[in-house]
Amino acid sequence: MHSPKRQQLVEQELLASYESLYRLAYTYVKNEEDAMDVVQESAYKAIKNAGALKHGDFIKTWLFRIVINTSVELLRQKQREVSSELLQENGEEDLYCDFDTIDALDVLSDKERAVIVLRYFEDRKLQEIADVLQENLSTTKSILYRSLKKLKIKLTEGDYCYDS
Amino acid sequence: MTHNIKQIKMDYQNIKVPESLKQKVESSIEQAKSDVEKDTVTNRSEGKKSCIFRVWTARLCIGVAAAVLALAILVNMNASVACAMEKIPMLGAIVRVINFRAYLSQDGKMEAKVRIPNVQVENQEGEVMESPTKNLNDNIQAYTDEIIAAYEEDVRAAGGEGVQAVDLDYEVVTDNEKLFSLQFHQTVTMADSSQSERIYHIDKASGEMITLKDLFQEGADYKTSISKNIKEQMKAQMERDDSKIYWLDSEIEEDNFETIADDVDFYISDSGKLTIVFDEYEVAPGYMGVVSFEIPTDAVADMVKEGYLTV
Repeated sequence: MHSPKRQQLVEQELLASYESLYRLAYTYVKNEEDAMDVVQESAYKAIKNAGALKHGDFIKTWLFRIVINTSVELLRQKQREVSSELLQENGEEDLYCDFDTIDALDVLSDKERAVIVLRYFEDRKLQEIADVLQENLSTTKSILYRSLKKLKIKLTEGDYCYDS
Repeated sequence: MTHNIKQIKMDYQNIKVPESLKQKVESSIEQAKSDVEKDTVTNRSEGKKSCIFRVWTARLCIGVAAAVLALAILVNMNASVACAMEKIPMLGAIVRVINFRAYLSQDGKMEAKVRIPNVQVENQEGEVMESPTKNLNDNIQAYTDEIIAAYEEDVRAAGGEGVQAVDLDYEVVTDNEKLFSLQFHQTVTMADSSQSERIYHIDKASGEMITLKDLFQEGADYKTSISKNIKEQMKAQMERDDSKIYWLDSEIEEDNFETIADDVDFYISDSGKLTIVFDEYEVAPGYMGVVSFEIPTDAVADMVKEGYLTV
């Protein structure tokens, strides 16, 4: 169970890719403070559960998955807060930066967003993305197409959307 | 409006990563390491800690102690799973999958994995609505008991020689202001595999379970309208695509699809359309798998109750 070796590998990967993890979280929670919380919580979970990592799992893929789940978790918690805070509007507003085009991702579901961000912004292979989502390859492809359709993105020639 | 992916990517890369993040990540790592050590020393089992953002987010808790508390009590199981499954709507009754039990069995080459969710219906004040909660859970249990009993019967009958895998999983397919729907996917694999679906719906306004007829006005002949539309879709699909076959005008007349049943499975799609789901083999040959038909709201617009479907 307790595996110092794996823990060390996870730690290295966290320190190498925390910026990617932060950006990924940001596309979900849309503000600095929450994105930082997500990355911190994810780092905590990753180290804590490093023993559960199976041989052959890609650590980075696994970290992406944790960040996505943690972001979604936080969003749901916030949604719940909003409903219970309707009567007492004295909370401070978080600062949301105005990223028009990133807001375009709002039309996507949690999974679709992950596919778009990982495929196009983090340049991950479809198979890796499938691993992140724990879906098979063809499901992942169809999520990708569906997401592109939703975004109504016009891909320029040569920007073709999946690796064979 | 169209968006250029390069433009979005640029904005993505321009997301500024705060300088303090690195140090925070390091402190999380240290915290986790020391917790892991503590756990090892006291030999505590994993998964006891709640997945609430407890370490870093005191600010989240202010003013919402009650809500956070409710979340924290959630868990007698893997915490991250429970939280990931949570669904939190804004209005009306709140329905949550609070945890699940698993029935796992392995007997030679026969195995079963059945996940049985435990669901809770709450009103706006957060009080548990006993009767709807019990009703829904009883229904789920009756359904899962049936599956488990059939499997155990097969194990007995096979006397150690059988090959079979039963898998039952569930997902929340709809959770909006009006409706909470929980879908079960069952796969039974023997020489061949068969899939079937079962979907339960809770009306948020009342907290009660509803079926297809509850979406429609009293006495409306929704079954005929929906069936007619499905037949049209089947026909159109078969004309367009040779590889698709539905039992519509086949020689074996009793197999032909005539009308949907009272207890037909359905859900409301993301875009607010009624979608009818048929099990494998129900209206088509096995290779078609589980098939579903989205019914245009126009087709039933004059009889549907307000608020469930969108045009």
